Amino acid sequence: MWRKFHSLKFMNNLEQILKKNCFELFAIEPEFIIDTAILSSKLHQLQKEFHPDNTINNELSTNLVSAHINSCYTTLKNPLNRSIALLEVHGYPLDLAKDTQLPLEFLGEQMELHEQIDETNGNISALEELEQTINNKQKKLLDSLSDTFINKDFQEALNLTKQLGFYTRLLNSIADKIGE
Amino acid sequence: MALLQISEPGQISEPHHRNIAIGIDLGTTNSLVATVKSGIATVLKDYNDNELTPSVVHYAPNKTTVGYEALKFRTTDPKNTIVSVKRFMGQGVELSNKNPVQISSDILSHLKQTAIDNLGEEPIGAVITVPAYFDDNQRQATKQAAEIAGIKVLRLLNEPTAAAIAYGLENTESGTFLVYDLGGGTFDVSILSLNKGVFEVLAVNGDTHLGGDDFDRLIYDFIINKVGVNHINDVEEAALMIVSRNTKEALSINESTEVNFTLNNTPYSLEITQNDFWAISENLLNKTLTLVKKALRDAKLTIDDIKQVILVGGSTRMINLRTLLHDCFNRTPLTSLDPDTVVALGAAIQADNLAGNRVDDLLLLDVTPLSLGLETMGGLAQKIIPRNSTIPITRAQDFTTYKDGQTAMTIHILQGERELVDDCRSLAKFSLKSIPPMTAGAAKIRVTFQIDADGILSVSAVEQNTGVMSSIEVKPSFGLTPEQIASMLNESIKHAKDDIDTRLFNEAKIDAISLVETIEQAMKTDNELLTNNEEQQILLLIRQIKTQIEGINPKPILETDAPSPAAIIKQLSTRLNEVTSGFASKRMNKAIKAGLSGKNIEEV
Amino acid sequence: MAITLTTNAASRISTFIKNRGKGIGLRLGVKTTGCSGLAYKLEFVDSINSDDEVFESEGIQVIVDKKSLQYIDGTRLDYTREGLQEGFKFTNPNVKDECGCGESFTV
Repeated sequence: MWRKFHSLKFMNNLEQILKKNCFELFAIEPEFIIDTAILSSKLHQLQKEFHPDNTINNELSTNLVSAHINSCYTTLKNPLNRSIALLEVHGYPLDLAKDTQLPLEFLGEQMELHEQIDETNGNISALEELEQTINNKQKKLLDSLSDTFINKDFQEALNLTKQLGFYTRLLNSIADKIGE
Repeated sequence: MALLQISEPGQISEPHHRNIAIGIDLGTTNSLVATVKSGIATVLKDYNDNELTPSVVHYAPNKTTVGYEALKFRTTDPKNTIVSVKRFMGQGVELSNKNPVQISSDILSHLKQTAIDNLGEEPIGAVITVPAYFDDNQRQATKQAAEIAGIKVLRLLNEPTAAAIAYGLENTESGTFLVYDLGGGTFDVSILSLNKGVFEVLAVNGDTHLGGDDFDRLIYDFIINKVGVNHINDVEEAALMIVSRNTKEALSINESTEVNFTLNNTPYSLEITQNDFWAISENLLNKTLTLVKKALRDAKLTIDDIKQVILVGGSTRMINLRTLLHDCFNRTPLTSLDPDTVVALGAAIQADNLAGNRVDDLLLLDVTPLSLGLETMGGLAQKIIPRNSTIPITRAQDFTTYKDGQTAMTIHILQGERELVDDCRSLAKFSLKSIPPMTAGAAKIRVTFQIDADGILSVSAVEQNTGVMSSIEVKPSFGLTPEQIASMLNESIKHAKDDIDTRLFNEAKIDAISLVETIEQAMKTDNELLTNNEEQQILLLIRQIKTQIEGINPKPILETDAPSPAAIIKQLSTRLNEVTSGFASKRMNKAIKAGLSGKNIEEV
Repeated sequence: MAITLTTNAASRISTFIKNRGKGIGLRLGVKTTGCSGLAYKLEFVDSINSDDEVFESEGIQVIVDKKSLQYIDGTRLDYTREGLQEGFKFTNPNVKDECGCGESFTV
């Protein structure tokens, strides 16, 4: 039988896993730059062991562990969530919903971009063009963010992550409009 | 007697405990049941050699019929003949005074019986497929239907994923695949990456109310329009719907077809061509392509990244559809497996996997099709779990009170992509009460959403400072109440379980009697091999088994928790087997010493 | 004596092995099961062990370990259909008694 029976050891293992942060769980260094191929193969390796499809009995507890693994995968895959998780590891917790203090100049730019989205009136090619512009801005931001993490300038990383939150929201809003 | 199948080396389980599991494709138009036999996924046929069971149920006052039998009533008694019930799953409607869940459970019972007839025993459970785009209500309703039919659901599996399993194992390919699944009533598009036995779904999209039925309806409207008839009665409508479907099927083979039918006692004859069909169906076909593009977008892929397009569902036989897909993807879609059976075969393979009969790794990572979230201030929906998140998944978010001294908070759970609450599907509402009075914003309420591997959601809320907790397993708003389920269960117990219980009891009885006789014979001939203690234990168990066999009559037991007489007998027989195993090997050694090789054998 | 297959059984086994993609034959065996005695097992074979006997019948290699062989020597294996059921059936000359389901037996 390749399906795992729930020995005491296995149950202890489950408990340990739930306590791990996402970087520990995926056994990768707490850094901003990650290799998505490694992330994906690590996901497969972990889920082969803990997915409820592959374990007998006590589906509830493996469901939780498997869910934790997927949750971490989702977090690590997404630059914004990864950055927030990384800040937390380094002792800089960030609540995007509450902490919105940013330079006026940046907020002005955001308002302008929101207006531009409205002005497209749902025109797909206009939206796609705007999406490209914002993607380029975001890419620059991601590069700076990566540098600040390398330089361990976590206060600046926190500021940039807040900005990243705004770009992500803009891009989601555009994607939803294109979807409709 | 159950006939044997070949197992993987070292995978043989105990006799009488063979882990046979089935896969069920519960379709809008047709349903199928399949299993893995000697390593091959096989669709199980009924006594008339049919693989497909029409998903049709006919209700007469004292008789419920399912499948081809029921189909006969479609034109003679259309009011009591339910077709395409899948379209109504998870909705608050009744058809012929029956809840869609109950109607589906009648179809599932029928399939389960076909499986038992084929396997010679009851399967340990089933993987039941659902459209990938089914929401929480529709999934819950499907699971309830299975429960009422007495089927243990090993997993709800998304139909396109099931198809990919069947194809993936067939071809052992790797790469990114797009499954285009147009069934009788539902459309799914699913993008998966396949790699060394891992099936990872990247994105899904779809429409649970778009399928072959809609194309039938277009032809029906075309015909009505062409002959200019305004009034049409129930029976004629049902008959013309069948004509329309046949027309669609004919147009899946031929360039044009002649349609003959009678309306208001007037016979008509019409020629319908591929061009006519294209003209009326173009919008619908393009709608599916829009959904394909959305899925690609979500997966952050383009058409060029797709290695193969897999066609699933009977409706993908339409020539116009195939042409459109060929032009869109610039390659010929993969159709080497029968689009009608491929989903059931994939479900059977996953069922076999979940029953523990496979040796090689098979891992499915599926996603949730729709975003889940809750209502926040101003009637806005806040997403907690975005669509296309890999499941199972848990996500938590903290909320706070907005009034001083607020002691309760209503949590309104939503499913859908839109920003406004009114545009999303409301799944459930529950309240977190007894929050200690604090100033606004001081309470920290952590709301946790969990989606399990079946794609079903549960939500809990905890006030972090005090630990006050409230949780809910999200029940479908339009499904059945627990009371309704209980009464249906009792109903089905009365009708069907009578037979099953009697059969199970008789089977257990026959096995137990043969076991007891064998042991009694052995005790006579080789009594000296028994210790006193063993003998006492054996005699006690034999007495208990005999009491069960003689004393109890196999009537249905209404408290479902109590073990059935058959289960008690089986339990005692298992115990007796265990207690006598030492005795058995001593006897075998004795026999060998006496006759054959003279060597001592250990456990074979 | 030996183990033999009917033509029908052999053709099915060959199909099953081909579908599986690997395998050198069919293993027949028995395992002990409490006091009802022994139960049959049928498995695909990837490797032959030192205590295995190898027979050939109808072009299929039939592999049986020596311990099991004592209980099933002379067996003829058929693939048959009973009602809607399809599968393998043992005809074993050593059997004195069978349980109701035919899966286990005594010698």
